[in-house]
Amino acid sequence: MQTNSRISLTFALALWVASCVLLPAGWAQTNTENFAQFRFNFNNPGARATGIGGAFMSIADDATASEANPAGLTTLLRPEISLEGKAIQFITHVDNFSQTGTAANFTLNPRDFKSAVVSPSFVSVVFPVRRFTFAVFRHELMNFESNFYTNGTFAPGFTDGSFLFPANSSTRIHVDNYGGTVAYKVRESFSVGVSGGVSLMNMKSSIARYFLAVFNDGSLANIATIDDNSTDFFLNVGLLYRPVENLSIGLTYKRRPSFSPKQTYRFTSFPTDSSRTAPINFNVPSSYGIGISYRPTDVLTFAVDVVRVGYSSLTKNFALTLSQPYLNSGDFAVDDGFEFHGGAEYVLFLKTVGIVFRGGGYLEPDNRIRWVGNVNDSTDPDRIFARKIMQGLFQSGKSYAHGTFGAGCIFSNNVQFDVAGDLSSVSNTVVGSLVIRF
Amino acid sequence: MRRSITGTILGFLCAAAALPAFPAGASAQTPWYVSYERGVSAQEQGDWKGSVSLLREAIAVKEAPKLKAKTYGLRFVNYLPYYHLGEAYYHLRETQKAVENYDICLKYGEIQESPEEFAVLQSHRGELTGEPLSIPAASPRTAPAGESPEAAVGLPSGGGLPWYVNYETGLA
Repeated sequence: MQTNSRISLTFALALWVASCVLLPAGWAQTNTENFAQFRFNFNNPGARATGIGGAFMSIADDATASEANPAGLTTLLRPEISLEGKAIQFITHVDNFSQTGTAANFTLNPRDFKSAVVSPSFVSVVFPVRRFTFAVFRHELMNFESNFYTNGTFAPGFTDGSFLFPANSSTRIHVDNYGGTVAYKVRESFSVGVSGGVSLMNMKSSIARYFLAVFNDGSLANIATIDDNSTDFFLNVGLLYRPVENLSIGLTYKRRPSFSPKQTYRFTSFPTDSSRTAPINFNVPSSYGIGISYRPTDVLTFAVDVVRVGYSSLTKNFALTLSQPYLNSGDFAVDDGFEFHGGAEYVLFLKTVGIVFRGGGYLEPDNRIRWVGNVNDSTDPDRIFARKIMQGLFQSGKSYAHGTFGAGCIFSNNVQFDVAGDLSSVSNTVVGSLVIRF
Repeated sequence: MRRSITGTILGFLCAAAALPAFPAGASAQTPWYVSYERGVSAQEQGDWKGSVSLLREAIAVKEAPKLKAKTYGLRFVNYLPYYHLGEAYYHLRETQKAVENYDICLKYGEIQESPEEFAVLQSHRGELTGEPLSIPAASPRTAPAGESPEAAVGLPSGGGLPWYVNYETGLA
């Protein structure tokens, strides 16, 4: 038994070292823990949209519509500027932070790690010209940060002492969209709009594995790092239909960018120190959806959005090199998912100042890459071992419910200030936005 | 996802193609606030004649005045089209039409809660009719039990005014 454990441990070590030697294009987005924990957040910009659960597709009646639904810009009669700032706290849940027990009977201890980012996240300038409306904007599509470490644990699913190295990870991804919008009012009740432009990504990421839980070069086993920029384009198409004044229906399609930053793998002892650099794929999932809003009175609005997000693109071009003889790309999958958004907005006037109250929520579907293969598809013990390791590491996630709330102040028809919060077990967001009308 | 994208685009095209089949409804007209704001803007530039047709367009879509009426986004305006029509006719020296529109405005009663406009209306109407209008701004709308009193107020079409206009003017 002891011999078997030693063999398994050796194999596990070799597997992890080999993973750095052999990681292919497309692997890094999905198959290292730092990316496996990655969370997307596609909420529409603006504290107003955030406060009502992001259900803004059919409302889209301010300068944030360039992203929410470009067709909505035709609603604006006068030039308008929108500014947004955002603070996000990400909570990375690490299942295998540490362990208690013996190799034959152990329990993994999880730990949550928190990281925060603060940034100006949206600015747009809108110019209505007769039936057309034009806009230029910058939208922070993603601003993600995660830092965590593990103490090293026995491999999930094994009882023979197979061991996962301690890891230390840092991930920072920033994607900005710079673009323009053209919207056209086909008739008073029907508008179309298109936004398009350039997406710029900056990614700084490293995940290092150590022989011991002492994070210095002396115990470094291997490290995968990314420090690169990449560029692609994005496209948003929207329709807005108002059959009656207080009912609105919006449709959008959002083609999001794909990037190919370069990743460097450095490994210290297999067989000698060396490194290799190769591009990876990072596909931001595209989406399409429908939204409906209803305004029973001038001061009360209800809205819902249903969005289909193409998370399956995360495994597009999913190449396998780690234990390649033992794995198939089809062993990993992510399903496309539905996001459900809903919320309400109420305006209370205190003399000339309007106070706005908002509440809502949305359901963010599971978007973690998971193992879907059959572990025991052969009698080859090495193959079974490799597949079992993958099965333990790439377990499915779960959907998360977000609760949102917000408030705003309408100082005049020219200035509006809003704040909102978005709370969940994986992230907390505070948004502030300002709309200036001319 | 490629199939989904194709489906989405086809869906958009179908939706666009189906739209003409929907009844036009009120939203097929220019929104009331577009005409109204253009009318008010015309008045600010001294184009009293031009403002009349714009204000009438707004009234054709939204007849009743309203304070804090939602336009778009979170923009709200005090929608007082009859007051502005009265103003247009006042400056065009069409006395009868001006007084008629002032009185319709008073009949709806919203103007009393918009002190600036109400003061102008009082002044201009009094100038045209030679009769002072002593209705307080922001009249409290609490009513005693029973019918409103029929008080003489000296308004040409006072019979159609809200009860509290006559009542409070009578008290004054």
